[in-house]
Amino acid sequence: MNSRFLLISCFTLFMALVPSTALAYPEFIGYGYVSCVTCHYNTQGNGPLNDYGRALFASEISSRSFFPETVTDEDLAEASGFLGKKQLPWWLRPSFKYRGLLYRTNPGSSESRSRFIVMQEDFNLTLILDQEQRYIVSGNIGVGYHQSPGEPEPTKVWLSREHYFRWNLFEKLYLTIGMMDKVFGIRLIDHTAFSRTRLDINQYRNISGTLTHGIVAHWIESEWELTGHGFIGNLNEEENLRKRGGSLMSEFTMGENKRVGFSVLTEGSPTAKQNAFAAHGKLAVSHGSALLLEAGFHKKEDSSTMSNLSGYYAFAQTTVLLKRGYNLLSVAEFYKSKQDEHDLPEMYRWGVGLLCFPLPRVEIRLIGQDLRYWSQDKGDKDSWNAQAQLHLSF
Amino acid sequence: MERTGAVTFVVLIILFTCALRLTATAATETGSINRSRFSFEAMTWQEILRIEKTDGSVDSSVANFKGSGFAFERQWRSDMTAWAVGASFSVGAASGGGTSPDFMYKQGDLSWLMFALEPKYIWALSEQIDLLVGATGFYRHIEWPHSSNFRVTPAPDFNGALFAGLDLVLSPQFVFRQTFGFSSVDAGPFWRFAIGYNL
Repeated sequence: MNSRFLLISCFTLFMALVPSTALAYPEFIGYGYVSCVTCHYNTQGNGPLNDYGRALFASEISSRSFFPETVTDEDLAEASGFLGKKQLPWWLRPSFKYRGLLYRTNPGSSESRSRFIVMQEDFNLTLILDQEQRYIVSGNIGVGYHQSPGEPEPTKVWLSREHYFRWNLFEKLYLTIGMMDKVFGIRLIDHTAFSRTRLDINQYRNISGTLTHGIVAHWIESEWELTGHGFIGNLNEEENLRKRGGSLMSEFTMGENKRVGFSVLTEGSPTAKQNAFAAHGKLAVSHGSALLLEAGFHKKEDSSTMSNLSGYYAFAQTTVLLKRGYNLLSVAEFYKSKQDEHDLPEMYRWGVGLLCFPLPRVEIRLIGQDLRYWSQDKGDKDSWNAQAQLHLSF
Repeated sequence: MERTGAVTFVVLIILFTCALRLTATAATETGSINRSRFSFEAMTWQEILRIEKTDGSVDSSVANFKGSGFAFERQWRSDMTAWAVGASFSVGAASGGGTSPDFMYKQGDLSWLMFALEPKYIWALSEQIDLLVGATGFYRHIEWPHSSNFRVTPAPDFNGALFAGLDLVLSPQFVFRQTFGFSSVDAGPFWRFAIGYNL
């Protein structure tokens, strides 16, 4: 039995074990992967890729420009494990993720500043408790920066952003218990997106209240999905900071590789509460290219400051496959809010750049961003930044 | 500044006319597919707003514009390329004012309207994705309120801009378009998003 046959057998096995939907990024719906569970251990996306996701990244998403023709896609898929071609025991799946950001604000101006930020350095360990992958334990630990309300600067800490037990109760239902991101809207990798920052969602924001312990129930049909998330706040934080609540998200297929969905969220701590609603669409445009759309609104009430904030947002992200491994990326965002009946400046942000996967395990993002505020009574000059991101996945 | 804008506008009109002739010729020669599209657009851009005090000191501020409008476009497609010409009408609001405390001239929610004509050249990256470049010549009208303490000089009403864009075909009828570009008097780029319906 040669290695290629083994590989094809493994692919077939994984395809049989998981539903036929998957993605590593939501925009990979352009490749025909409409849901997250095929490629991620976390059925809502985020966190480490499973074996199928790793193989797919190497054999379909990343460029093969640096490999001779004698190296096949199957060879690349076979070498996508943590130790390359060396097989680990079936129950052990470690991984490491690094994301670094170099950015320059207002390039060309006297106020220009450069900064380098390590956004993520996470070691993940996934233990598969049975060969059918019905029971999985997964978690990570890494360097993070935590900032509680009132603290002027974030503190560098070791923290786990995700750890959970996943139970595939039966074919279509997954239960996940532990610490995770809140289930709401499209889970973008960009943790600075208005849809994530304004709603305090996304584990990489490093502020209080974004991480939460809870239970996620995810029902997956071929034409639709329904997810419910009940959470009790981050048990590592002080009790008065914990936000308890729940969220619900559903998606429906509306044509080939086109999905629309909605999310609702309600949460509260002893001093603050938030309600939010969003509708979203994930549309494959042609092979490898996709349009992501989301629009939503939220309302926050803070009893400690007796203030209310309500706002709405919209974003559109376009990914256009130029050549295997190389994509044109365009992101447009809008956010408008009102604080205690006073209009706050509208925010518009546009980013255009390249999203590159030049090699398996490597992602490079080169993006220029323009941020514009629209005030009622003055003109604010745009602020720009140029970003270069390096992501490594082992 | 006004003269430069007017000259730019005239040049763009000439280009526009040439584009019309070229596209008509191309369509006749190749028997290519002609297509008309009606769009709803939303847009924003930023212009330089010069504010001068009576003592001669100047504040180079900016004015932000946002608005929406309708556009009509005719395309002449041939294999993987196309020529197109479009016309649009938009209305919206603008705000601007001095950037320092010495220039207390501030205005918000001023109405503007704009007519634009634009030829474009389009490359099809795939059956569902088009990349486009073009030039736009426009007449934009806005009145900044007079102030006895300041002389306000906005960008010229007639102007032109160069832009690039992307069309995503969502269905045989609907197209999502995003374009961005610059004109010589813009302080920041213009961004425009449109949903188009193929007639």
